[in-house]
Amino acid sequence: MHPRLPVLAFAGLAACVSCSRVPSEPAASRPDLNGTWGRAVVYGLDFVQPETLPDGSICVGGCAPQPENAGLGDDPPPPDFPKYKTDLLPKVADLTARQLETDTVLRCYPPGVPRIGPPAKIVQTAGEVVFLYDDYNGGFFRVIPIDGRGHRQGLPPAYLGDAVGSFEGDTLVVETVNFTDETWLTDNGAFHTRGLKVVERLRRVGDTIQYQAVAHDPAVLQEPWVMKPRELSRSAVELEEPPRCEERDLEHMVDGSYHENPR
Amino acid sequence: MPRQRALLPATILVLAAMAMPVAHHSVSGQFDTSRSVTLKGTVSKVDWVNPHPYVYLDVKQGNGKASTWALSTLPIPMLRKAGLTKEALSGKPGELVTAVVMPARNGKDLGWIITVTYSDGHYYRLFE
Repeated sequence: MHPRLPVLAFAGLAACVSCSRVPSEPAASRPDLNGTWGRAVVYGLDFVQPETLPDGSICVGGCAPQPENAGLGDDPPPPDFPKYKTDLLPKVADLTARQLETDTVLRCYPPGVPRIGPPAKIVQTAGEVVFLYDDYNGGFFRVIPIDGRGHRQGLPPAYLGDAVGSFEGDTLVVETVNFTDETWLTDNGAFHTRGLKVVERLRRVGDTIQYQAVAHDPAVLQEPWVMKPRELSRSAVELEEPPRCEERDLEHMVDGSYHENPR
Repeated sequence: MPRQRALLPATILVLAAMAMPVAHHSVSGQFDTSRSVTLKGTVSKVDWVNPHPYVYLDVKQGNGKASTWALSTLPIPMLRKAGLTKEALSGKPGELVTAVVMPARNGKDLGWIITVTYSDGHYYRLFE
């Protein structure tokens, strides 16, 4: 027997302590999630109905018939908010009041999951699914094994966590753990602990994907938080490298006023 | 005569954005939305950054001195959707442009772009 093999075998076992192999749907029967996907309704971008004039002038916003329910001049609807335990509500209120200081996403940090929302592009192979994001804070990615392996052990907590996935019928189910506690679930002080677990479901329906995410954090939440479902449709626009993120405005803020922008 | 169409009724553009759908500071927290300032100068640089790109305008003052204004505008996904690029905002090198902006509340040479008009008369209207 080769003298190095026992060491390599041991190392391989140690790297995957809890490798419970959960059977997934056979590759041939899995839905194909490959593609570049856009959201059918993107609040905020809905306002952008530019009119381009023959001389090259562009009028942005209000220059063309607005889509229905664009909410002209109104703030976007507030997101459904997680139900925090009663004794934690003062902390949520404090983080909300000071969110221009406390929300890390305003300093170009990765937004965390599920706040980052659904992926903009999906690359699917027999053994893994890769989510690519076109986010204001950067071009993030997540590599999600779907070969039955368990979560990796011994990794430091991550902004986007550690994910594994499996197909249940026509739905990709992604479970993510090992988060840092520096991100929020959504706006307005929605903090979480390192014990957060997020389960996302992506179901292909025709040329759309139905996306849903549920955040589980029993240390702080009364019940799992269900993020508003999203529908993704095929996009003909390929991803571009996002511009770098640099926050330059906060130092010029005279007051802490802000508006909500649900993902 | 400038090649401008009559400005269509504009709508206050709420700064809600897409994958920038995070709580974000409001324009009024930084800029005086009750005033506008007209600046004429040349674009020396465009920083194409998220969440807000910056257009740097070198403006000659009445006393002959120059100052550089940092003009902020909509998030890049919105500009992209409108077909605006960094090059389009930059204009031609040395071109005289006119920017109408809301000035910063802290008195610095900082503004939020309402319109920017180029030497041939074409313009971009980015806010009401």
